Amino acid sequence: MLLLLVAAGCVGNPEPPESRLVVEGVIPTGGYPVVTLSRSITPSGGGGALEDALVRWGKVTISDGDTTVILTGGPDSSQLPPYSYYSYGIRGEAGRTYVMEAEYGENRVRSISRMMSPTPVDSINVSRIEGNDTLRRAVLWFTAPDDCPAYYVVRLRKSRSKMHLMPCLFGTVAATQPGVAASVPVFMPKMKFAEDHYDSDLHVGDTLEIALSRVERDVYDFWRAYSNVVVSSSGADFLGAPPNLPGNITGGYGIWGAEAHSLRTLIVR
Amino acid sequence: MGLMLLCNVEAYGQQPSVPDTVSSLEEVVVSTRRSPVGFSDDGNVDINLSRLSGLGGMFGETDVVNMLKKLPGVTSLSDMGSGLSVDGADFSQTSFEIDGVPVYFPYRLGGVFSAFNTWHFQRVSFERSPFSGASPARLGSRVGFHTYEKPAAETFTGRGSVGLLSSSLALRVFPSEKISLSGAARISYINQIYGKMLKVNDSRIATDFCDLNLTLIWRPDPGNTVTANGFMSRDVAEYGSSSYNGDLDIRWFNRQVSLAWRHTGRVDMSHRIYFTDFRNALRVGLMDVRMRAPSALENAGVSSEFVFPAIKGMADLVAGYSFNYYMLTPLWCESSGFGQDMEPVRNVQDCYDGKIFGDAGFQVDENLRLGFSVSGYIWKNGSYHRVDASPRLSLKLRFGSWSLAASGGVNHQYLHRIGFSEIGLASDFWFGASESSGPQLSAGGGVELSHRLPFGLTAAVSVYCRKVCGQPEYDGMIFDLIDREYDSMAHVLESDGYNAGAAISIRRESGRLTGMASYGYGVARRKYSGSDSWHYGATDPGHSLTISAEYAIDPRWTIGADFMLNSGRRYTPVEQLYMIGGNIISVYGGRNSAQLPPYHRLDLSAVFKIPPCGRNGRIRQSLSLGLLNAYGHRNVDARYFFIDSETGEYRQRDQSSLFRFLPSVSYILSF
Repeated sequence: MLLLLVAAGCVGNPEPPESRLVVEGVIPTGGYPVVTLSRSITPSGGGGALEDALVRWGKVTISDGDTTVILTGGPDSSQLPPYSYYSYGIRGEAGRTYVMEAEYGENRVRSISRMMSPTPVDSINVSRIEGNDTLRRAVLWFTAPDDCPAYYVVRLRKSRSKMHLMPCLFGTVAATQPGVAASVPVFMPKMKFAEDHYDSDLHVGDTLEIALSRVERDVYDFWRAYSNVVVSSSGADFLGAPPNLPGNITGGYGIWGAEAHSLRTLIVR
Repeated sequence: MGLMLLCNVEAYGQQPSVPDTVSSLEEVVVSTRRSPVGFSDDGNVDINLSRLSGLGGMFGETDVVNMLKKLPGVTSLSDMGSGLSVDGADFSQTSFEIDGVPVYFPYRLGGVFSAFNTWHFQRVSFERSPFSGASPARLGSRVGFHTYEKPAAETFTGRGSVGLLSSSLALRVFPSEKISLSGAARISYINQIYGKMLKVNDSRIATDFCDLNLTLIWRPDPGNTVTANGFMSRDVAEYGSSSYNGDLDIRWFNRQVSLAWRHTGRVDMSHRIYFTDFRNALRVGLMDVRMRAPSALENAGVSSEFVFPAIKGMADLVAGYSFNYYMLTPLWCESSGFGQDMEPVRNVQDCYDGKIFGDAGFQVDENLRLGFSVSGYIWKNGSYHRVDASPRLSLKLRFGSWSLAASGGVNHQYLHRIGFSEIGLASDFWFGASESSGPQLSAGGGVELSHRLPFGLTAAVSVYCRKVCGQPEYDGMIFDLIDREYDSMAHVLESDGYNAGAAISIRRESGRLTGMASYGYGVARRKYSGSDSWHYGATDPGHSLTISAEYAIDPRWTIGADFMLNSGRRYTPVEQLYMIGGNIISVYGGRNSAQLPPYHRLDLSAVFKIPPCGRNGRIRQSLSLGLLNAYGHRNVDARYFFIDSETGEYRQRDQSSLFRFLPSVSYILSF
């Protein structure tokens, strides 16, 4: 009987899933597309190098229906993996739809994203943190547009840094009522590889570029779940495995977003 | 200490010499150590707690829920887990009661204690597969804590313990022959003593608790007993991570008041009215973001049982009813720090259930007994309602030194519990069966064959198989709570499947060396509604080997050891990794498709009894020494991947369990 149960409980080891292309791409209004292309890797218990994920010889094309460009790859030390694809042959324009296609070896992925109209930033309120003279907290305010619901991602980078505008932790917000003042906190982006200790607050003296990016719902859903995953996997894993991240990449992982940027520069005082 | 089954009878005190002539002794003290644990043929267990008085157990607390984990097929899956899974059933399917009144979450973080203060109760019953219709509507086992049934002869008794984890005091006062008042209180100070030992990697864990029991028994005449019970327990568990500006804490409370009247006469009756509730609140702080996610279950009810006089050929006939009102508040969230006020959405479920039942037992001959039970249920949750029936059959057969017990039937469960955690943390919440998530159902049974061997040994083999339907699972994430449209009910998945398994055990219930060894194997398989793909249930038991032994060196010293070796907990593994936004993102594989490394642990304990003192030796003292996880094995509770910021490589990290080398010493005084 025990043997029968043991047999009943056995399931064969499934084949490890095949590596898939991973896209992190954005085209902002008035700006140029930047795409990071990598591969997913099958982890081993002993760990391994993330460089294995790098895709240097992929082909990435962007099309807005009138113009199609092939992006050029090159080293990019501001991110991981340290390589990105870019082009100055096409610029983001509100109302247009952008098709991204990428291929590497046998793998092909595709995604479509429509550029919304940007929503102006009304203000960014900076407040002191009690008992700390060097750190500040900020809240970005805007007025919900007439064509609600509208979805937003807040991005940030330090001026004159090599970093791209990175999504802020918990920097997603949905506006549902037209004309209503809406707000979202501005926390520093969380990049695990860049620092061991994460500090969410803004440092006095820093000059920051902050973008309120209006996006389509699928892009918003991705970055919202992304914050959730980044925080949930901070060590509190006894809370269980979160669901897999959503995405809009057919045949692969990740996100391709046409983002309607409204950019502000903030000097933290 | 464990399921130590002491039965050896010893006499000590005055040692009579062999007289030439008959003379009178002024006083002889006879101390009898009998087994506190009784096994019945069907695998049920009855523990007489008053006989545990001389044994301190771990940390001065003989926790009965922990004792039950040493039975085959009974597990809590994890050190950090809170729950009791029996034969692959989900945690919420095991019911806990104090004098027939439910306690909805009697667990503590870390598994060392449950919310029940052993010394307040007279006995504990464990029904692996409840047969009686008086059992609550649950699919799993039933654990009943029973207070003393009547006032005792002594006017004042008590027991106190002071340990490194907690201290407790239990008193019984008898102002008259008709009245007794008993109370027990316990408070922990784990963080103060063990705080540094509870660090896990770069994380910090803290937990503390307290509980209180009060019981008043009034027996106006021998045929009537009125019992009033009160119970509360409070726990807090905190988790902080030094690599984040984040912290998380869970607070949970159980409360209960009840009034029962028991009448013994031509028809024995017991009537009960009660209120019991469970409340919890998960609080998460991350930078400026603050979230508080509470939930609650409040239950008011009445129940009665009638035991009719035996009819010729019919051993017994029991009938009864219960009616319950539930106010259920599934998880909701209030939050701040997102730059704008969030409008919390709080849903409350008003639910009712009614039950009538009848049990009949037929003693066919002196070796064969047949039982039949049926319960009829009515459940209402808002506009949703349904009517169900649960029939059950049982058979007990004895032939020589062999005995065979079999039972089976259909069970329903209308209260569901789910949450973010895979290990039954207190942040899990209750909700009622509804149109979108119907009642849970199980159908099946089990067989146990036991055989008495020489030298006081008993061997047993058991097999079970049950089909289960409507098993709820939660697929939400903790920061989903910040969503304006968050609705906890929208994250409920349902699965069907089966639990099956077998166990073999051998136990010795008398002599200086007593103990039990068991091996079991079980599977819990599930598939989601509308899917053909099977996956393991979170409570899949796998293999379990348990060896408990206790040796009475002399009347003063008793030593014991418990060893557990279990299959690792099922978890959802990472199959792929990729990078987005400078962070490593996991792609998870099949639900519960992987196992953590095997769990094993050796606990050692010793009890030294100081010779009794005071008039008639009423004052008894003992010292309890314990060493939990004696060889300091780091059992794995969670596994994940992270990026090493120094090398830029990804690495696997195993999150170890809560306890390692946890020593304790307790002083116990009873009178």
